[in-house]
Amino acid sequence: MIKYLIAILDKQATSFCYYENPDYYRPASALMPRAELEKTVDYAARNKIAVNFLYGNRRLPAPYEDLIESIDHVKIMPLKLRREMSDGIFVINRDDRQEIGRLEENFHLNLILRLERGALGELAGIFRSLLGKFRRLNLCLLNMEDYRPEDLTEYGKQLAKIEQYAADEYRAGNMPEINFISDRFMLQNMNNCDAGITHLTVAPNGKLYLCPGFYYDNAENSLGTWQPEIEIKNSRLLRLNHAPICRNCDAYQCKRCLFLNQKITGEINTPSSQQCIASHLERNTSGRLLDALKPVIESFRPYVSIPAIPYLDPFEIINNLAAQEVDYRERERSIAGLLSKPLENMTTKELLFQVYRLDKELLMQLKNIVREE
Amino acid sequence: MEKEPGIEKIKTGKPSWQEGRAKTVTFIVTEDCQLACRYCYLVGKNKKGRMSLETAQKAVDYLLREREIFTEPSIIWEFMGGEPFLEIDLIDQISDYIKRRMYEDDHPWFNSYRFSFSTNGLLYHTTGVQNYIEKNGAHVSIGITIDGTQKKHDLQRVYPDGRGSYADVVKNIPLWLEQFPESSTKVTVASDDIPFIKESILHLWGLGITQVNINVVFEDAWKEGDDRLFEEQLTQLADTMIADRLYRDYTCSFFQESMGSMMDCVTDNRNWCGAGRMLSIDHQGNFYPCTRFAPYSLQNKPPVIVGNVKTGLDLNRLRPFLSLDRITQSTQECLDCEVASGCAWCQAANYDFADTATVFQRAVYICKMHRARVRANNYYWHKLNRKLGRSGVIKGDPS
Repeated sequence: MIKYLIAILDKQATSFCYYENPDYYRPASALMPRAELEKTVDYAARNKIAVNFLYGNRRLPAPYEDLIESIDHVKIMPLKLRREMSDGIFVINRDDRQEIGRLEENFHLNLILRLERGALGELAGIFRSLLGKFRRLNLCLLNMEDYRPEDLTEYGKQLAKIEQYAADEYRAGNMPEINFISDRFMLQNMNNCDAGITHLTVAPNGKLYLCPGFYYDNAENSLGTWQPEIEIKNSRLLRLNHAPICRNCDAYQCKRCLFLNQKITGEINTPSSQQCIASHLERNTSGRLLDALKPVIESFRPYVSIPAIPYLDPFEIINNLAAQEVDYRERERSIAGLLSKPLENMTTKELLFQVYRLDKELLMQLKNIVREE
Repeated sequence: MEKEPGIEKIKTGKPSWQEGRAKTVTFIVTEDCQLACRYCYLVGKNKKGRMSLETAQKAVDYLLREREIFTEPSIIWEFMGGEPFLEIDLIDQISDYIKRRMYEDDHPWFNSYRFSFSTNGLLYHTTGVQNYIEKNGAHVSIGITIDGTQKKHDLQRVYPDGRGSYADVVKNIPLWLEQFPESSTKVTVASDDIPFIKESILHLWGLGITQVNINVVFEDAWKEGDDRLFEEQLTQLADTMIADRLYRDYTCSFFQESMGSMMDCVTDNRNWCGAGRMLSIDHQGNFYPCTRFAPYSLQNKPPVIVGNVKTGLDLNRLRPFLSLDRITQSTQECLDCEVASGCAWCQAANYDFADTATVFQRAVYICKMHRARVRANNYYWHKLNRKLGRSGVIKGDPS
């Protein structure tokens, strides 16, 4: 079910995610025509959904702002607009990094840090300089398709440093949200981007896309224009249960970026090894940090540990098991063992009660399995 | 491989070499062919696409060098076209290079390799081909495609001017069977061929080809009523096989005792197709998950390139193929199907016919034909088991 739209207000709008906007640094601006913006706002109002507006490097004309204010929304804009506009999520691109030092202490700010591969070695330093200046920080690693094993090793090193900085911050009583570290603390299931499922993107040309990445990659990737029923061919492939690698994974904080999947592996439901390894490095960092912070975390929410696992890429498990012709029951048992980790501590009675609440039929089916076995 | 139910044996198909654990690497040495078969999926055949020795050598060097990627204990070096024997001199040079390099590298494959060919058989008797067979001896495996009776064969397997090729192929069959006695042939059935299935299989057995591997085309090429005709042909074949006790010495892959059951979504979730586990290389040095993903084989979609001889395999591009399973690509109807087992698909055909550029959408054009096959298959095994006093397997409802 679509819950919100992403509206690209300007062809030069900032990226806020993994994709690149090749027009971002170009001088000429190309705003979404006002008529298209009106259609977007109208569609959102009629369908009771919100809109995330993506801004370029300059303020919009007043009539645009009036339209934007007429609907539930989030504004996402380059950090350089912060001096002029205060109510938004601010994106730190390459050319905004010198601004970080000038940011004042702020525990309410929502920031997105987009870090190119060449700057990976600076990540921990940048993170440290941002501490105390945000409520939530989202990190997007760029150029993932070019990542080599040594880059991932470097990412692991940076995460180890960040783990220490974050631990100090949490122990000091500050509880900033950090997507690549703290999101996994709270999650018991996948929390993916869900492009095409919970949100769609409208581009300046008035056409719809799965996400901005597909628009900037090739405007021909369009899903069409506004229709009462928007058809996405093979939409089942957007869903987790149709992603053989991801559905067996517990790096729940991973965005499972469909655009990166398509770009690197050729299939929207298949992540690259770089994506999997980076997400597992984050997952493992979360696990270590959570254990270290147990007393702090337990004071305000139930504590569920993140178990140690012997791999960084779930594809290896799937592929090795397939190649070795391991008995499928054995394979399912090992995967189920991983996925059910937090449930292991529940009593059988409580677990069956939860199953009953979810689906009474399941209980009947479980009884049949017991009989058959 | 034969079983002994009581006093009578039932011949079963020969297992694949090394029980399927060998890596198959296919060199598309030419995209040219003397024939213009009407059902051929190679829609882009041409005279320009010829592999150079240098490209083949680079591919061999890469494959032998990357032992951590190519861990299979054995290898099948396959030569494909078009018609591969058009390039027998090139193949001979490539084969010599492979043998030399495997020896020099002390590669485990040196002790476990095959050179494999699928050919239309027209050049089988020529000096070049015969010298090659003699030179490489037991390492060679050759399959000649002959579709059955002259009528059936010439309906599809024709020269560009429309003449049938049966007479030019059949004369090479005795020599082939003398050199490769346990050989099988691969028969393809399209809509127009259905009335000739029974007589064609009997004809091939009569030629001495004891194992006939046969499949229906995966394309959207079936007409109303084809399934009934198909079932009728297979039923007649079953009756003849049982009456004449042909099951003792011959096999036809349409009849599989284990076929036609419902499949479990957990324990029977394996992909049917081996695309991605094999590797195909064309004249440009590009790698494909199998030959059918090369440009000359696709009608509607761009090729799926998973690397090349210069930069090597792009392992990310292989991940979709190696993680593909049955449930992810199947329709709900397929998952609920009571006679699902034995229903085949071709990954490249799926991709070519899919609504988007994905390998995760299964084409189901053969659904009615599979159900017809299951009914005839059930009939065959039911009747044979009764005759031989064997206990059969209860299967699903193919209606």
